[in-house]
Amino acid sequence: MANISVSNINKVFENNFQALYDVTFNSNENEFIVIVGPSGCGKSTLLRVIAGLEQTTSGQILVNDVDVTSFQPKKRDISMVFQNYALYPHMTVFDNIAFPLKLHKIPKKEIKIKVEKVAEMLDLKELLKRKPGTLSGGQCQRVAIGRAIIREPQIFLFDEPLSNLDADLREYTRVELKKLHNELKTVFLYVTHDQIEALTMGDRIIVMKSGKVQQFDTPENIYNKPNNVFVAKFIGSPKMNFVSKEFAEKLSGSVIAHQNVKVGVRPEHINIDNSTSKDCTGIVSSIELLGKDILVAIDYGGKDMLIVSKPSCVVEKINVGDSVLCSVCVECLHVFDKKTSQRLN
Amino acid sequence: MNRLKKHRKKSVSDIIFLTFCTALLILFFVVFMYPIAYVVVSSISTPSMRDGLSLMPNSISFEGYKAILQDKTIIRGFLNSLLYTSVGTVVSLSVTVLTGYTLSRDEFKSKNFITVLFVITLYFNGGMIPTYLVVKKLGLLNSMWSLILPSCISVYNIFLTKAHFANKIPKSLYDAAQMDGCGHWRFLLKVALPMSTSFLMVIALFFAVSYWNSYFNSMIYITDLEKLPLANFLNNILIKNQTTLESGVFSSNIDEISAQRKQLIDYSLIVFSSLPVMLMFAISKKHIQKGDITGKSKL
Repeated sequence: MANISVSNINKVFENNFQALYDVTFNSNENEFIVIVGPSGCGKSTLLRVIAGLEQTTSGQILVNDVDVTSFQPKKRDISMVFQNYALYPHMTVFDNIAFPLKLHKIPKKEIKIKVEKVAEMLDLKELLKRKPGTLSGGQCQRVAIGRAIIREPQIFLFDEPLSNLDADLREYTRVELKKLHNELKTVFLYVTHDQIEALTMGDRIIVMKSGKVQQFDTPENIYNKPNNVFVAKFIGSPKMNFVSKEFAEKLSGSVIAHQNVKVGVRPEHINIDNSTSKDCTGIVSSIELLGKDILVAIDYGGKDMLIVSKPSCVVEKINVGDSVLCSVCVECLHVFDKKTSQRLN
Repeated sequence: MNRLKKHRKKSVSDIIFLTFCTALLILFFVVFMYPIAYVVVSSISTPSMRDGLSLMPNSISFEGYKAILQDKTIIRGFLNSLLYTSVGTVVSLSVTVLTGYTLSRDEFKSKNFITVLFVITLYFNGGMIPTYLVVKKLGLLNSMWSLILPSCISVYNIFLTKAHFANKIPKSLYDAAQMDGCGHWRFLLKVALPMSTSFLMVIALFFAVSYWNSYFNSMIYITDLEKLPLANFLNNILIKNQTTLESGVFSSNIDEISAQRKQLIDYSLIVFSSLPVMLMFAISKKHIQKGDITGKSKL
């Protein structure tokens, strides 16, 4: 059983650049938390602060209710897997995995047993005598995970560990990491800029922007009830459409009570009707087949609105240049304050 | 790719350029190698047979080497040089590695200030007499340490080492090592140094050659003849044209035959004194070829 609690973490670098602003979150026991955000939003800095590789300017980090804020990295009972794996190139796979145990002066016999167990778990048995330079990216990644799990820490930190892998291997490793999390039953803090990784892997997701937590919630809530315009725009592919209040009212056929708002609509929530309408027609500007879905771009008064639709009799008949009627149910509208960008409905 | 390269036709300008470069390299090779080959050949030739600039020994004789190996002064000088070189190299390498590593760390706040202090010493130093007085006050005169301590720091090598640690050892490795339980000492000993063997070999070679060839400090600080390194004997024999061999091969009345024999022993002594340096170079050759000094890196 493990948990981590981060409260009011601020990080100001020597050049006075503030990377983190009052970051606060608490994990549940053995939770898989994904930290997601655009490049430079502070997610890796947050991970490094939690690891102890960077000092906090203010704030507190508790691991299993122990304040580790001032502890050295090795004393925090935290392991980290780095984006570039950071394997020791002069050591064999065995020595890389065994290195943390050797430093902790664990007896050689015990080290051998543990390394073999980890190697079996990660399918590394055949590679134990090889050096990192002779391994593929996926194998290096497994060695890095092996080195992290051998100490049996309370918390695992992953800093974009899949970003150097090709698409197939990334998908495979995602599943393997989830399995590993279920096996190890510890807290995983996983940094990524890939929203698909975030949505598929995380029990909860932290969305960050400019060093601030924008939303900390379950993947369902992040997607269906984004806290603000940034989260709404950042999560989801294709991106959420933003329309004026008036157009949203026409689309949904209902009245939005709030004033000065921005309204978001997910592309898959917009329906296409081939009939014409005076109020809500647009011209189809492009049609792309996404496989099981079709992505239609509709030009409405000079602005493109994206629609993801399942192939249907209506959609399949549409051609570029056709006028189409769009509609959306009122429950699918995301209403945000124009000034504060915060969610209103 | 290789096939493409093989079949690519060279232009006339390419051929001219490559021919010029090859000719230049051959010229340099001859210019540098001829004196070495001449000395080696001369050291194993019968003195009376040597004539002109020929590289062919008329008759092989190891008389010069025999005379050197029978001479206690030379052997003592050789052993002294070995001792000073090995201890000096270890001390210099240790100081250089520790200083270079410290200056390469971002978290070392005073690194810029200390770097400036080092740079100043590249342009200015205390001078010979103040240095002599310091060595004297420290009670180091006539000891091995007078040859090692004043010259154990080479700022150029420290900057090379600093650049090596800063650029060739990825920062993420230090982060990973910290997570695994390393502090600076363990990281340096278990990760950074084992990853830098080629670089260290080259730096060690720089130091070793410099200690081996050094004679000026020993001329100033060493008064006891028994403590002089080989370079000083070489200096006496070759530059000052003195005969110091205890075996008495030469007398002050140098007739033609003994002059030839003196020359033979001079050549033998040059080869004999160069052997350790050549050996060091042979050991370090593959590391120098790896290019660790020039900036290539492969992890």
